[in-house]
Amino acid sequence: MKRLMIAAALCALCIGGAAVSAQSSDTTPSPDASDACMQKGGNLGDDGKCMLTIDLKVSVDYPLDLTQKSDLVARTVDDVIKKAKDEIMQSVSGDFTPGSGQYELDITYDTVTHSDTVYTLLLTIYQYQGGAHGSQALLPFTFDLKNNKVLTLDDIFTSTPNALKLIEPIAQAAIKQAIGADMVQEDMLSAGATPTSDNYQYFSLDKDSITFYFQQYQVGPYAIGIQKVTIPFAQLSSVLKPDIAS
Amino acid sequence: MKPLLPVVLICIFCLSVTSAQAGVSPCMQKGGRMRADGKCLLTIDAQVSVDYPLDLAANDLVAQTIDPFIKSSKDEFMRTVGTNFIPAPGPYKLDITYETTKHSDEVFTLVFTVYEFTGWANGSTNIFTYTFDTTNNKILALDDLFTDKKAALEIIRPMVQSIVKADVGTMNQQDLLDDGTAIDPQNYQAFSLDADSITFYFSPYQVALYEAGVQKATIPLAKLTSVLKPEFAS
Repeated sequence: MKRLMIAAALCALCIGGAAVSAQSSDTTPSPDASDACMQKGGNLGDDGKCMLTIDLKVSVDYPLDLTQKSDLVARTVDDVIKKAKDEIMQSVSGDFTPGSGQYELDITYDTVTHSDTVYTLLLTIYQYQGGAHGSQALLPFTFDLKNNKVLTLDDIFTSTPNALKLIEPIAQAAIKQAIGADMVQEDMLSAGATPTSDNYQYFSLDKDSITFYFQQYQVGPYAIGIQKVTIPFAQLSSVLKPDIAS
Repeated sequence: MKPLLPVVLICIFCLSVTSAQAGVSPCMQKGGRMRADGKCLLTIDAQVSVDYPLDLAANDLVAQTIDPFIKSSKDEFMRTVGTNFIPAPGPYKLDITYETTKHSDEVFTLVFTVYEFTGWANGSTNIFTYTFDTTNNKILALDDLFTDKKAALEIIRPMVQSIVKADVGTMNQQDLLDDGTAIDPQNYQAFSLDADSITFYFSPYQVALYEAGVQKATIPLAKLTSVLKPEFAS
């Protein structure tokens, strides 16, 4: 009788265990279901639901004072904001993608003043569209309010090619020092700092110096971020236009 | 005195227009909101959540039907919230959920509830239905259920009207109800089938005021035997 009771108890345990395991297999998503859900761009929850999600956040710190004072500034800023916003909207218009579903666009600004009529508006644009990390770009626009124009290198230097030949070694040395020898990738640095107008198009002017900005991946790996190099006008007096040097 | 009156009225009109424009701050004109710290912030906060019927989508017809529906709902929502900044409080939301009703082993309906909030006073809820016939690999329309669609709707309309009236009570607006239940297949395109009844769904504003929400009217198939095709009457 005792043996029978033990056998019965074991059977009950087995049945109970089987029931539990059947229950848990009902609620635990199968790998196949998980794959199928991912193929739809979703994530399979513990409750077995395949959820497709997007969480989009756009935030723009709009330079209202500056845009109200100048149509040129307003047009320039509005254009950048619209392009960045349209780009992130485009990124969520395709298929759903599995993962966090988070998308982010964050635009902030800063200003640097050269004179009463010349200043640089620096727009920092951070975007996250899924993946390991987001991306950041720094877009400076130097406005000459007196002449109602956005300044380019040609407005700053008497000869842009000559100026960039002078600037390149200074920029390379500054970047190497800033990121350290371990992070220097000579081929990226050479390519990104070659004296072309494209490589040096992002700059700001303050009272007595010019700062160049090198975007992510331009002069080194992602980890070094955006690099900036500030050069006093005093070092560039031979190539600066008189109205900037003075 | 009389000739002066139009001039005065025009002046009042001009002043009111100017003051109305003056009431919209420069930040609001850009679609932003002025924060306490003096920053003009333009924002979009949009959340999409779709409860996807994965098991049912194993059927190709179901997947080919619902995937474009979900994608177009999402894209339309994103277009609405992303075209321009607007100074309305978010977050904007698109929530798609579903339930199923089963008529037989081969025929079932997927009923999608789509809730959207895109910055106006209210969110909106709409119902979209797809009734699948898996034997014949097709989506059923009213023509597949009834021998004579017009005759069927003539029977169905008064039943729907009395159900909606009972449901909305004093909120009933007869002209809205008459228009929304007019004998037009478009008005009855959202339906589901269970074993012994058909349910019609009406979006807000279709047959009653917004506050009444989505209206649904369930009619037993037994009451429609004279117009049902044999396979649904049985």
